[in-house]
Amino acid sequence: MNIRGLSRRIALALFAALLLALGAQSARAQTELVVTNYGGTFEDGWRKAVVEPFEKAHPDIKIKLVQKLVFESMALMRAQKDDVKIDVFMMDEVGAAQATAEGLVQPVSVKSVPHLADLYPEFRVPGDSFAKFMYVAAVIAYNTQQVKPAPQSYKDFWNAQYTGRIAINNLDSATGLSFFLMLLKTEGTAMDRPDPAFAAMKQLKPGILTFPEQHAQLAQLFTQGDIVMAPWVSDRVVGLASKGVPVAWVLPKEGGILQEGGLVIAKGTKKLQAALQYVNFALSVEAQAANAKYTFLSPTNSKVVLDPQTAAKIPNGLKIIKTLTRPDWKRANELRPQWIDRWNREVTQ
Amino acid sequence: MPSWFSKPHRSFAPWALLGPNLLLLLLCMAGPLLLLARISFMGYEAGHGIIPAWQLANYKKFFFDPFYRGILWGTLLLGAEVTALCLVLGFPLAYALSRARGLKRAVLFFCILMPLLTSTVVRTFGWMILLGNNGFINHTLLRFHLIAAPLRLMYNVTGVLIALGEVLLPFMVLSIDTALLNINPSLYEAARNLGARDTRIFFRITLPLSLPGIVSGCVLVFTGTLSAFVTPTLIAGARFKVMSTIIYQQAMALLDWPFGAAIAFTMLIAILILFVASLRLTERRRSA
Repeated sequence: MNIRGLSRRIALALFAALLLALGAQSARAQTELVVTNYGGTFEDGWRKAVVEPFEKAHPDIKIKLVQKLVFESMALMRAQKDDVKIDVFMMDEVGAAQATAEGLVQPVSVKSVPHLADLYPEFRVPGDSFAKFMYVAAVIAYNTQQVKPAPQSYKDFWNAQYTGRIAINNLDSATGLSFFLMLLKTEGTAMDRPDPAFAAMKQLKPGILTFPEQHAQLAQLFTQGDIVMAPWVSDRVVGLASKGVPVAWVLPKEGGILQEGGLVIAKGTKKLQAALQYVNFALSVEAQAANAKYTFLSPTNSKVVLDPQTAAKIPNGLKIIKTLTRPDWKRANELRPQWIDRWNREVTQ
Repeated sequence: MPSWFSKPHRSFAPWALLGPNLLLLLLCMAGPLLLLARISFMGYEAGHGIIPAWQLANYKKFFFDPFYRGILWGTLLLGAEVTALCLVLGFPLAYALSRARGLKRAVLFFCILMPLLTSTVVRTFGWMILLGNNGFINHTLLRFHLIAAPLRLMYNVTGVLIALGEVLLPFMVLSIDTALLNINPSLYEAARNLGARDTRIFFRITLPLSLPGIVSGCVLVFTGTLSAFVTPTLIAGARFKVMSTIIYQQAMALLDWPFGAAIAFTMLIAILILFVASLRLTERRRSA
């Protein structure tokens, strides 16, 4: 008979049996927890700092990482309300507060997430509706070879010496919004009276090389030496500096703005236990120290002791946290559409 | 062969062949477009979300505001500029390609397709490295004292023209190449036998007969420019706004889906009008 045909059939059957066995095993043993993150270099660090050690510590849980930005996450949370597919979302303060207001979150507690108790009180939110696992600071980034002495104030952007060699993030982005809020402060005005800030921007406008929206664009502008100064966030500046680009960050005398990251558990998740364990792990000393080392995220856990090298590079500790402010994000977001419309017409046009 | 495929049910066969495609298009294209059209008539309030309604407010906001009208004209103008650039650069290339044979044609063909082989984002970052103030082009020109100050190639329309021209050129070249290959060579011989010179042959035979290819190439390049998003965003930035970037801003940064949808629909209709007009143009040519 046809020996070759027969052996092929046997091989096929064996292969199918193997697949079945594998499938059955994974179905029996593992819970798959679907979580979002910001992607890119952030994801590389998150995998090393959180996902891999977590899976090692909890062999029964498998993490599936998906990339979602804050606004996408918000839309998804609304859409999946009745049948939760993604269990834990990574969001900034604004997104998380919005999701809380819409009743889409499963609050945590010190009982279900013990490491919450270790956070600086500054990072606990009302009702613990979500958990803040990191913060970064809105800062001024500058080229250490070209800008001497280091900038001290947001006013330094108006220094004629740097005309054509600065970038200001577009108001669409979080970095741009933080800059604009600091500008309101620098100009001594309030959110409801932004005229002085727009007047200042009109004056600065010809000296601005471009209005980036992505971190990658700023990184390239600094790397190529096209710009020497720009508003940015601490983690990205340190990340770029670690690649050998001569940049550093400074907290200007007007102060800095906190940009925080929170983990939000979707209400109605079918894997609540695993989700709580994951959030707890992300708040642990071990995970936060690793995040600080790999992606330069500042720890919210007060018990984290950074190695001296990392500690010198990123904002950390209670003293710095006290100098950083948290603007009225809710009001800022209500006014943002008007500001952007005006910005489009008066500043970037 | 199954009996339904042959004579008695002949009219069924085309539908059977079209079926899967049609179904896919209906589900994945027409459906979402209808939804988008519906959303474009809704309202939006910051902080509260989308308000279900039937109103023309979004379209009014677009057409009665010189700022947005300016962006529409700017986008159409950019489309025309890129199309003209591609036509001027693409026609000679297509002509050379249609004349080449064998290995030479294969190599040329591959070179022309090359821009399409990399992802838009990577290619655009490549252009940024070349076009920047301290980029390769400015650096070289400064080095040889050909210019005194860096040329402004980035963060303005110039850079967008260059980068979009590069990526859309293949569409123009391949369309014209196909049309040129369809011209019966004996026409050229006949014209020559009758004493026509090269310029006369070009304007009386080559150009008119390649017109369908030119028109379809222009349509492809034009629509490609209008829908481009990554290149204008990265190369020009916020200073030069096009329809796609303001749609993104409304939908993603401001979450105002209704207004974003209205802008998207305006752009779609503008493209559709131009598309129909250009098809008419070639049809008339052919029937004349």
